[in-house]
Amino acid sequence: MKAALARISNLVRKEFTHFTRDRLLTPFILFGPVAELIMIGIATSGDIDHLPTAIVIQDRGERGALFAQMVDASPVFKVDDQITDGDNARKLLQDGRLTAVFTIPEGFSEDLVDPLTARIAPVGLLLDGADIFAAEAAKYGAEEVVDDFSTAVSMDWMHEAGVALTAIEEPTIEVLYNKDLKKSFYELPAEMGIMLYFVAAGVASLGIARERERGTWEQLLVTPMRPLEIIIGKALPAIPIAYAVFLMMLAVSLGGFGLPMRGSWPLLLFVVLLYILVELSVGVLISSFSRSQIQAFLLVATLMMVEFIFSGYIFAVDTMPSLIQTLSNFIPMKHGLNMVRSILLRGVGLDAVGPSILMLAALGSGVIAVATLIVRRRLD
Amino acid sequence: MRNPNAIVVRGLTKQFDSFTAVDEISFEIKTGEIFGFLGPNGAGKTTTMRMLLGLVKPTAGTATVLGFDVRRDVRLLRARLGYMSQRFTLYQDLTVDENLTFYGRAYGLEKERLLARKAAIVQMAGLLGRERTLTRDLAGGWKQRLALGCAIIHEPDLLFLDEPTAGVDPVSRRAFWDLLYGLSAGGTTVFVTTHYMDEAEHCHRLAFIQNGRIVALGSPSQVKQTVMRGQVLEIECDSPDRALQILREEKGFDEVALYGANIHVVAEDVSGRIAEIEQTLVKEGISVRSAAVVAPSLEDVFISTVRTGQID
Repeated sequence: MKAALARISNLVRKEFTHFTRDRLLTPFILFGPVAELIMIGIATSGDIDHLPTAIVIQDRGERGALFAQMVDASPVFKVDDQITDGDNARKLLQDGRLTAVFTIPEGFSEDLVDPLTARIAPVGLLLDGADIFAAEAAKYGAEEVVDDFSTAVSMDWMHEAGVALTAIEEPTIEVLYNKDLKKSFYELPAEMGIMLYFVAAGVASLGIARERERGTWEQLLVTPMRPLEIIIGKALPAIPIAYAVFLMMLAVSLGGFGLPMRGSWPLLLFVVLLYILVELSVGVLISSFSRSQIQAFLLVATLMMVEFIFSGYIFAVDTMPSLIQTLSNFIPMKHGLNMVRSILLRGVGLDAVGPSILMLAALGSGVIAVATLIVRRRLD
Repeated sequence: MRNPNAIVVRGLTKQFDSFTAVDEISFEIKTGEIFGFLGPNGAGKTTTMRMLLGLVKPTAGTATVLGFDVRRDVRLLRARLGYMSQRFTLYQDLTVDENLTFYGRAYGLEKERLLARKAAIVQMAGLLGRERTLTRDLAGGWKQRLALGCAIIHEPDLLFLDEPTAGVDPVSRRAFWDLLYGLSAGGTTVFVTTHYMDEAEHCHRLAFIQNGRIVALGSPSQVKQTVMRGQVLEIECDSPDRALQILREEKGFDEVALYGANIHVVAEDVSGRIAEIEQTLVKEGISVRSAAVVAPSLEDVFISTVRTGQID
């Protein structure tokens, strides 16, 4: 046992020497994820607003002017008042230079003069659906403007009729955990999950694949080291490396982007360690059937897409067919991502993340068992 | 006390699906011997070595290495074996000293013994003063000697070398063989595969392997005597490349090949045809300076054996 530990630590030491000598991969692994996180954080922290907008006014009345004014006043839209022609505006929308085009039709004001003769006044809105996020923001912005406009018109009518109106009831909306619905609060923990997969699975699989590619693997096998010792020694360094990357990403998220930490620190640090261990064993599994580094890297990248899609990061798993929902429980990233997000934002405790912890532990043991089996068999 | 035989192989066979890589080979290697394993690419040299190292399980037959059965006890063996593969499997981004330290510790060497062995290897390989050089910055000959050093840092009883001198200059090859003689004199058994015929001449004993079978076995001179069919005629003449073409069109020769600047013609009764051959060449305007029957080199034997094997 003591001899085995000495052999493993000898290998671990060698791995760290490689790591400090690699001028290409090491900076990429250590600082790539943090750089990516900063970019994602910057890109998602602002609201989507000041969308380039045109208003085509065919109406000459007061109400039309009021509506245009209200669009102009909304922070969502940035109205270019040079564009007044409908065909031109449509052309610019196609070119991607406008996101939204409002059309206030002729007779708009007249339709809204008197409540007794009022008709539904159709305001036209063209949106660039190719840019879905901008289009969605514009749609919500437009609905808000229409609401405000309707209220203003109604108030006007009542005022003319001599009815005194104090206030219109609005629903009270309270968003828990992410008060301002900041996208970055959603994205940052998810990004950490993906990056940790990359670092843990990448370091473990590339390290083993490199020995195979260079022929040193056999040289290791003919020493008194057992195959399992070699794999442990090769994979262990991925843990502190991935953990260092996690701490850097966490520091940037909390300090730089104001991500809250509402849960228990020991719990967070533990679940991340567990998640890293599982993704690392996935890397070992990948390396067990890769002959070269490029093969291992491509497999890591392919599997990342699979984990990513079923993790619920972009595509809500709840809307997928029930079979896929069941399968998604076997995706480590889904658990890693949910746990990190829940502990950070919702401040949940062990009771809430317990099932995910058990699932990850089971997945990790299963993957390690399969990887060991494959390595053993390949020796024959 | 010592086993007289370092390796005993009986009917060793390895099949990959329907392909038989090694076909019922048998041989013994005496302790302290340098044993050469020769054969063309794909003949089964490396597979045989991998079976003896316990990296590949034999399909049939037995192999006893240092008294241990490779099928069962290979793990007990490992600490007493050294292995240097074709590609000098050193870590290029580690220094000379780091490579030696890593392999030394992998074999369980510690403290004083590790230091003493590292010093001895550095001395032996002529790497004094280069301990802190990155391995990738070493020239080929040094890399090769360092790889040998890593393979013998634990003073193995048996050393396996898989084409150890491929891609190394002749001076370094010579120096490398001197190291092997030293090891052999110290009692280490050496099992070496090679393509180089001049190297094979340096071995105590040889086995020729072809299509998975041993076709010749013995000392270099025994192999030459028993295996070689026919005599070798060495011809020294002008424009040997043209002479080669002319003689290749003639019938009745087993082999016509360039040998340095000369031509070697192999045939059963070649001594009786010297006059005829000279005439043929002179008729084509090639002046022949000398033509005499010589002792076959291992290269002649090798090529003759391989050709015969292909015909069988």
